[in-house]
Amino acid sequence: MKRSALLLLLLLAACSRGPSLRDQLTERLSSLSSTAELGTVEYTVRKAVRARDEGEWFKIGNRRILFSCTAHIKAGINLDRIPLDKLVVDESARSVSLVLPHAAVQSINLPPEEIRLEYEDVTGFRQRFDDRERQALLKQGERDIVRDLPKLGILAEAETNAEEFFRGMLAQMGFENIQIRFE
Amino acid sequence: MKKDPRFRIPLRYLVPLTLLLAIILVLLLAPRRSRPREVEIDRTAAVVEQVRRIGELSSAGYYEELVLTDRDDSYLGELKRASGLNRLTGNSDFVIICKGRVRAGFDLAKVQGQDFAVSGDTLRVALPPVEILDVVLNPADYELFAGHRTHEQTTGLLLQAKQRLRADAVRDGVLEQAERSAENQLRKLFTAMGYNEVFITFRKDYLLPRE
Repeated sequence: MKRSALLLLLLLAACSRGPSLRDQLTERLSSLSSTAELGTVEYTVRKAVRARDEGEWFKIGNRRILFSCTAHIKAGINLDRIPLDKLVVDESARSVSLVLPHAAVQSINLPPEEIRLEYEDVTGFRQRFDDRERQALLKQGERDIVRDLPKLGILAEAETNAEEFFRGMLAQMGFENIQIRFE
Repeated sequence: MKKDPRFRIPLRYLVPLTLLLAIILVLLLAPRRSRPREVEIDRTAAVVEQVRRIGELSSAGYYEELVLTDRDDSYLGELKRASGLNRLTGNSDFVIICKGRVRAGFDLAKVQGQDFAVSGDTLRVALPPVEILDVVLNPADYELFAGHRTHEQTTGLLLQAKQRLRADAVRDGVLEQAERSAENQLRKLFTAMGYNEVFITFRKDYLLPRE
C-alpha cells in the first residue's frame, strides 16, 4: 500500500508543470527604431496555396487543402542611403543633380484576415490538417511570394515613382534643370 | 515420442495465421522503416491584382514579441482544470507566440501646395499627421506553442495580436519617434540642398489617440 502511494506521488510530481514556464512566456520583448524609407509603390498580390497529401502506402485516404491569400508589398528607396556628398546644386542656374539608391522591398504584409481557407477535403481514415501543418503551408506560400518578387517588376516601378516624386518636389522648390540617377 | 493431437495446429489454420501475423508485423514496422512522405505543395503563380503609387515616409519601426493565450472556457476545459486532470492529460488552452512589426510615418500624398513654401534660403514644410502605416504579422512571424484551434479561430486570435501590437507601439512612443526621425532626416536632406533655414512642422490632427 505504502509503495503504491509513493508511486502515485512520484507520477504526479513527474506530470506536474510549474508556473515558471507561463511566467517566462508572458514576458514581452519590444524595441523601437528609427528608419528613413520612402515607399513609392504598393503591389497587391493574390496567391493560392494548394497542397496534397496522399500519405504513405499504409495510410488509407488522402488529404487536400486550398488557401487563398493576399499580400501587400511596398517598395521604395532608403533615404539614409542617399549620398549627400554627390548632391550638386547650382542656384544661379536653378539646377540640381541628385543620386538616389536603388529601390528595395520595404514590407511584405499578409494580413491574417485576408488568408482564407477555401477548401479542405479529407478521405478515409486520415485526419484533418492540424494547426502546425496549416501554418507550415502558409509559411511556404509566403516564401514563394518573396521568391517571385523579382519577376513582378516592383523595384523598377518603385524607382520610376521615386524619380517622379523627387522631380516634383525639386520643381516645387524652384529648380528647373533636374538630373536624377540611381547608383 | 508422439505429440499430443490436442496441441497440434491443423494445417488449414496455419497458412492464414502466418499470413495474418505477417500483415500485422508489416503494419507495425512499415511506419518506422519507410521515410515519411512530405505533403506536396503545388507551385502556383502570384497574380498582381493592383499596383498603387504611394508616397509614404516610414520613419519609425516597432518590433514586439508577445504571447497570447486563448483559454479553453468550455465545460470540459473547466472540468479538467477543476479536477486537476489537466496535470495528466494537458489542458486545451491555445498559446501563440507572435513577433510583429509596426511601421509608422507620413503619407506624403497628403502634402498640399500650401504645406510647402520656399523663400530665399528658407524652406517651410508642414507634414501631414503621423500615422501607423502597417502592422505586419505574417505566417512566418508566429509560432504555435500549445493547443489546437480551427483556422478561423486562429485568425481571430491573430487579429487580437495585431490590435495589441498597434496599441503597444503607440503607447511606447512610435508616433513621437516617427516625428523626430522624419524631422532629422528631412532637415539633413534639405540642408544639403542649400537651405540654411529649414522649418518642419506637423499637423496635429492625430489619427490615433496617444494615451
